[in-house]
Amino acid sequence: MRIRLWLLAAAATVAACQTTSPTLNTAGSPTVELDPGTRGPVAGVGIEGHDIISMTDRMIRDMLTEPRLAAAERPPQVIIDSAYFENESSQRLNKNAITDRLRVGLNRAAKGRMVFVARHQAAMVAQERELKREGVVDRGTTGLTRAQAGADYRLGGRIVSIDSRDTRTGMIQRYNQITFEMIDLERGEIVWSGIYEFSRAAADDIVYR
Amino acid sequence: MKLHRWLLGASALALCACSTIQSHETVVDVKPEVMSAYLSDKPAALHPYYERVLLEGGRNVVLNHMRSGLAAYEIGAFQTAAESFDEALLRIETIYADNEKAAAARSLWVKENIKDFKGEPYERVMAYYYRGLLYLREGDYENARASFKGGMLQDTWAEEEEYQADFALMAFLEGWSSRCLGKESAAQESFDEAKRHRATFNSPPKDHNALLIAEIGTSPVKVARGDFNERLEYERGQNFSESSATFKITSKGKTQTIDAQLLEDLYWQATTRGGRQIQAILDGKAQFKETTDTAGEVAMAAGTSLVTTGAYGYNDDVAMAGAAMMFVGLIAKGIAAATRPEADIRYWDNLPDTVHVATMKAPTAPYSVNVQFKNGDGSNAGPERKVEVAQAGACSIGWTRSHAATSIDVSAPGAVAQR
Repeated sequence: MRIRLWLLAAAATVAACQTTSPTLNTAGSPTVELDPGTRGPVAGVGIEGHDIISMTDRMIRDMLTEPRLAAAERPPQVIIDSAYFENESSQRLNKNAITDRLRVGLNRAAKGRMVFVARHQAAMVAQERELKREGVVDRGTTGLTRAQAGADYRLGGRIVSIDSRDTRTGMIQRYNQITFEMIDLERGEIVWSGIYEFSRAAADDIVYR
Repeated sequence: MKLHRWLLGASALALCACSTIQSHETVVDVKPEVMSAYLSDKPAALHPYYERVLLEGGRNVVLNHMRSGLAAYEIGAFQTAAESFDEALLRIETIYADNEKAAAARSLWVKENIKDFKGEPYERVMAYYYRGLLYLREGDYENARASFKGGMLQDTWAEEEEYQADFALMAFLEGWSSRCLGKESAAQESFDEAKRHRATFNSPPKDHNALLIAEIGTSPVKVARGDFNERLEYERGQNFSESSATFKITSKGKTQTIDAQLLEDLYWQATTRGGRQIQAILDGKAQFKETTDTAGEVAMAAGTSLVTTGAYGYNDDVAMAGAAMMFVGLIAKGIAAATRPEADIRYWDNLPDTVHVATMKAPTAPYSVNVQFKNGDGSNAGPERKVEVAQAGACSIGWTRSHAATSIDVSAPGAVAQR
């Protein structure tokens, strides 16, 4: 009996001294489909994919309630791109992810109540116009115009963040604010504004502090 | 005879209980076809460094991308460099909460270096710095500014408030990005902040549109000190004598020279961080190791004494009791040997010692720039070198180093165990 106890103690010691440390997820993770509108398994405190979906959906709904944009007698011509949408935050990001989704979503939801000018593709349009006018290609089916479409309104906006950190607890907190403004390109008037804001806080494991 | 067998067994147990290398410290097997596919879009000159990304696995992936990315930047593989720093920053920015490897790093039996490397604050800041410089090259000044702001946030861990977010280099570059965006007011605010952190810094005049950066020396060195190597400390990088840089700019047949000003000292940044919170855990491990080892010593000595007494007195019971004590002592010593308080000393070894900057009003690039590194006594440190200047927006940027980013071992110090 005593020998058994000793053997048990020896086994416990061997287990304690085991130098094989845990190697995690050695088999990897198979591809899983994720809903882009919900938070995924990897997250930080900044703007993520589900934020972009949520904010653009909200902006689209809100913009379509503005009569000057969505109920004008003649559909206004608008530019929605990232040229005047400034990132002043501490997060590196591709602003096109926001403005592209906004433009596509609005274009589909507006159903002709707004006309979208592809200023971000102006060079492509200019090249085709030149080819048509030089007779290299035919006129197509929609005819020629004197110039590319001008715009009545253009999207502007800003992404800002305010970061704070508690060195005692390791918590990092970020306030993110994204503002959208539709600007009248003649008068400079802001005809519509929208804001999306959120704060997130998280802390790394103590081994990283 | 029975007693001898027990003692032999226990001794063997204590000896084999703990080897110095833990399994996570070794390289992993990677199939040749997997490695080949991974390296296929990387410059051949960098394959020895990028191989380590796969060979050393997830725990060193940030470290290997940092050093490989910097090497890629230096040889002009800018896209590869950007991808590496993006990969490193993605992981740095990931919140490691409820992470099993991080939990393992806190355990008594596993070394701290099992955790996924994110780097100490000065290393994280420098990852943002290089990503920001790459954005500046591309003329993406907004993301450059975001990188420099993000980098500064990593410098908020210092124990002493005066050393928190005091990276003058990042403040300056944030201001420079704002200037390139035409936001002069924001630029001046950032330049003022840089001056608060480094009093000798002179803000660039408003008409300056060219930035020249010279990185000098070799990276701070992490060393483990203490009875059980549980304390992380730093030494200044070695093997360099240069301490300043002068740029020679030639445009339209005219040459001007500009002395670069010291803006950041990485060794100083590394050493002013103060105590890490993990240090308390490592200290606890070291204390446990010491106490257990001492207890083992005492039990062994007492047990030996009892065995001797029992043997001379022909008293088997006393001898067996002594053997039991010796065995308990051996177990305690085995546990002590298995306790791993060693500090994680993996570090980014192709960083510079100091960063110097110069600005000027310049014509649109390309124009010719050379750099002369100088020793502390004013003598030249090596020959003049050409500096590559890029411009994709309102501002141009030139970047150079006194020590090649590729003059490093293929594996980072402390990254894998040496058998």
